[in-house]
Amino acid sequence: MLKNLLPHVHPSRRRALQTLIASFSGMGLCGWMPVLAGATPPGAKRRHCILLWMNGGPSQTDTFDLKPGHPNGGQFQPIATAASGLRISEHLPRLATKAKHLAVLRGLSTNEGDHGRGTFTMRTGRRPDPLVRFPTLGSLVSNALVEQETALPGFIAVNPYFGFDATSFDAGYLGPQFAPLIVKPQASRNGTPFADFGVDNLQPTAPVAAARSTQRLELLKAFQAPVTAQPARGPLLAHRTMLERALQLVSSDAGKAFDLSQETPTVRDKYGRGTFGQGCLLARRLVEQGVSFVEVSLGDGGRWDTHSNNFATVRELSAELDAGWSSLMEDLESRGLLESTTIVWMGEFGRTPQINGSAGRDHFPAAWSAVLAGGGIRGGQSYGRTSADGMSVEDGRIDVGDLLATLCAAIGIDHTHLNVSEIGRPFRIADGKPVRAVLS
Amino acid sequence: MSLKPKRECDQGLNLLKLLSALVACLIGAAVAQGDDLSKASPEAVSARIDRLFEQAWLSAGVAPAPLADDATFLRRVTLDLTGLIPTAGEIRAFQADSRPDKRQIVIADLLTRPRHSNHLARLWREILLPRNTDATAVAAFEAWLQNRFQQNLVYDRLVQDILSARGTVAQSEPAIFFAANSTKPEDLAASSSRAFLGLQVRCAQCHDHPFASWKQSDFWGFAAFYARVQGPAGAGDQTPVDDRADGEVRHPKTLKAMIPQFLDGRQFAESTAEPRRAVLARWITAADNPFFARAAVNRAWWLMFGRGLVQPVDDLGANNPASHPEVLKLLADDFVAGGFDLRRTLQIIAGSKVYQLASQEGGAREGAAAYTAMAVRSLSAAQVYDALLQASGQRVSSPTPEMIRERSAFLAQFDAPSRDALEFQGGIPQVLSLLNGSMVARLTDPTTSDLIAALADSPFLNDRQRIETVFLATVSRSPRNNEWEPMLKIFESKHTAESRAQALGDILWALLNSSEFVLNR
Repeated sequence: MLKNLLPHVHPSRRRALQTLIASFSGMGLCGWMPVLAGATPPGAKRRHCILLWMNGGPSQTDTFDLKPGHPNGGQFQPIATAASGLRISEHLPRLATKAKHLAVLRGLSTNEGDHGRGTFTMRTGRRPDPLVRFPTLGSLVSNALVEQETALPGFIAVNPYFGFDATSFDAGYLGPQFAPLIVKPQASRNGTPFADFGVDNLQPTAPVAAARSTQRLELLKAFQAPVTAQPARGPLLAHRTMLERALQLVSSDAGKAFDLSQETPTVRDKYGRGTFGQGCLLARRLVEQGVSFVEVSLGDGGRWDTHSNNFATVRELSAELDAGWSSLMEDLESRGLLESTTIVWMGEFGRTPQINGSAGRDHFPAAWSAVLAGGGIRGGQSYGRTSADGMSVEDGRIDVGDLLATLCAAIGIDHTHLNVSEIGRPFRIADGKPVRAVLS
Repeated sequence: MSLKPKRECDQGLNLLKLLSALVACLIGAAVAQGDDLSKASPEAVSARIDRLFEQAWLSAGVAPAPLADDATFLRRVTLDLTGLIPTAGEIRAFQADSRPDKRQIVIADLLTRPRHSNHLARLWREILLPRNTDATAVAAFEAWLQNRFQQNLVYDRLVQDILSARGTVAQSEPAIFFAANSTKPEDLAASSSRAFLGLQVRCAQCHDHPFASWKQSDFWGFAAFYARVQGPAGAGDQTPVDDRADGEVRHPKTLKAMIPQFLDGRQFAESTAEPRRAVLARWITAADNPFFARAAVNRAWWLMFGRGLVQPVDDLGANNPASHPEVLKLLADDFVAGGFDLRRTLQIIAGSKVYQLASQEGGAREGAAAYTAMAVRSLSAAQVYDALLQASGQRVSSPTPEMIRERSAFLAQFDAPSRDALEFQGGIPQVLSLLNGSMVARLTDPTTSDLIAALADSPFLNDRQRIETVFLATVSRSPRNNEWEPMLKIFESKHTAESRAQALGDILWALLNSSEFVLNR
């Protein structure tokens, strides 16, 4: 019977929903947490993924695939890292000390040189298709890791930028239950120099007496009863799920994860004070709470899109990237979480090795880099090689499908698992071949 | 319709095939119908749509849902045509109205309200301007559109006015369309083909599209119409939109200067008498353009049903046929015959029985394509915001640009990727805002809520009537039998006027947070 009530839900998710729906009839606020605590099977290790998303397309030549001695190389020099043989930009010095966790994929070659289409391709592994609403990476991964439901949603996006292509942030055919909880910057609290984030309204703005609060929830329960009792799909199911999730969030203390003021100023400072650094700190706190997939973006409005003044801009961005990313790995490692958390660094495309007349670099999807780090990754190496001028891939060419298949393998997800789209077409999580050489 | 019989380059062959098929289909159907739509009443056209659906249901062996009851219909049509929910008074008056044609009457009334033009202006602004457009420019453009829709300026004129914009963004609001597209030929081409013709030629910008018929040369040939426009690079740029005597776009692979080329293959002849984009605007809005009217009526259908007859709504390419081609054709022909009157098209759709069917419990996406029941749809964040104000007794008249900006700031909090009404668009932040936010707190507190204060103070109402009014104001229906008991039980224990008003506020709070409030059934 319950199977019929929830026809389009992943079986494991269905079990969690059934419990939730059953408990709705006796909805006491504190009833939520115990229900969820048992959702992770005993003995199973929680897995996590953090996407560091670079808005605008980061220059590989000035970050992870330097070309010293060639005119295309530009102003930056490579430096040695903690991994012998792996050299990265001089403006990523702290990350260099963590290089034993990094696998730099230098043979990435994709087809899309437009911001919108590139964003879509890298975040879904697919070309835009008017007939299919493809899910974004976070939805795919959190859906596959659904066993580990927590009071917090499984997919949280910190400060995403929708300007290039909003559909690349959608849960697509997986349904809105797998859409990200979007966390946006808030005005800094108490005049601190740090960026702050928050989910608004976790606490009532105007609290009412406990008796009235209970009365309100009893009434809401009564009005929801017909909705809860009937088979639901589409917006009805989605709203019902969101309402349950929201109640769960306000009735637990999981929402405290968003409060960065619980961290010391020293810790906050080491991550970098901007939205990226503090976003990485938030990502660490969310992973500690069991969230499956967190994404943090760097480059509001597309700052990596350095058609002019490339070097000064990339230098600034590198400083933010270096502080946030290296601190994230350091803290995850000291908490024993790095081995179960896979980090992926990428943008929508790379940038031309040639330097244009405005000291800039333009869009270049033909030969660029992405980086995998942490759990499941054999770090301390680069994979793939571009030519001396950086214009072409000479060895270890991979496309976005291979990158995502490798990421899946590192997280422990079967990338050939088929999800069925709403028009009945099955799609693998990723179409590609995992790069075994970078998997541990 | 004059089509070039054969094009030199074989790249056009696919396109030609598609168009020939389309033309044959259009001519064939027109002969079969053979009557004059310009004299048909909107009601007669609605009835013809219903006959087409009845045939489709019959041949598919499916039965339609019954008609929606009056209150559900009124909530639906008020939301779809004005973006607002009806007031409790409107629902009571409509239920008491015994005229047999009261649904037609209310549709006609809604279409003349300022809120209708405001609603259309918002929708068309979302279609025409990218999401990242500057908020001030958005407000100005929306106000301009609203004014146009309020005058019921015919749709082809509206489109021509946008495409022939001149002057700075400060002087002329249509120039904002150019600013939002950075006055780049490729962006203007992609945006105007998508918005006005429902064609996704952008895919062909970088390479020949593997499935759709557009070739890269089609895209750049179309972009060449905008090659000689100069104007602002963004909303803050005060460069006036104007035409230059020269300027070309080049094919990115062959680097050849592109000659402007219409998307139906017709050739363009350069003239010093008028700028290229004026010729393009005429072609786009021509009565015999095979895409313009279909794209417009498909949008109108999408507005009323949450999905287009062609879905996705902005992809009318040959690879993507309509679910009910005869209905699309009927509406498009009527749109042309009626002089591109969008209001008439909306009136026809709202007046059809297929629009007035009861919703399917669960609102299955699959069932929606057969139209045997109305799909349950989500209110957009803007509709939720307006419905909150409306439900709590604050009158929402035509908003000023200042109010539009204020609301935009509020909505920015809930900016969700999805704009699909068949999905819930709110997300957890919106749900949290209704549960705990200051707005709902204010609207449900007896000391600050207009609705609760008015109801609590009214000596003519008993508790049942007060509760019923709160229901009508929020979910547009009376309480069900089994809902009365818990509510009346609460009132039994409240002996002061204050505690009774609070209880009423608590009922309002629970209704505003229910699934029913944020859905359009």
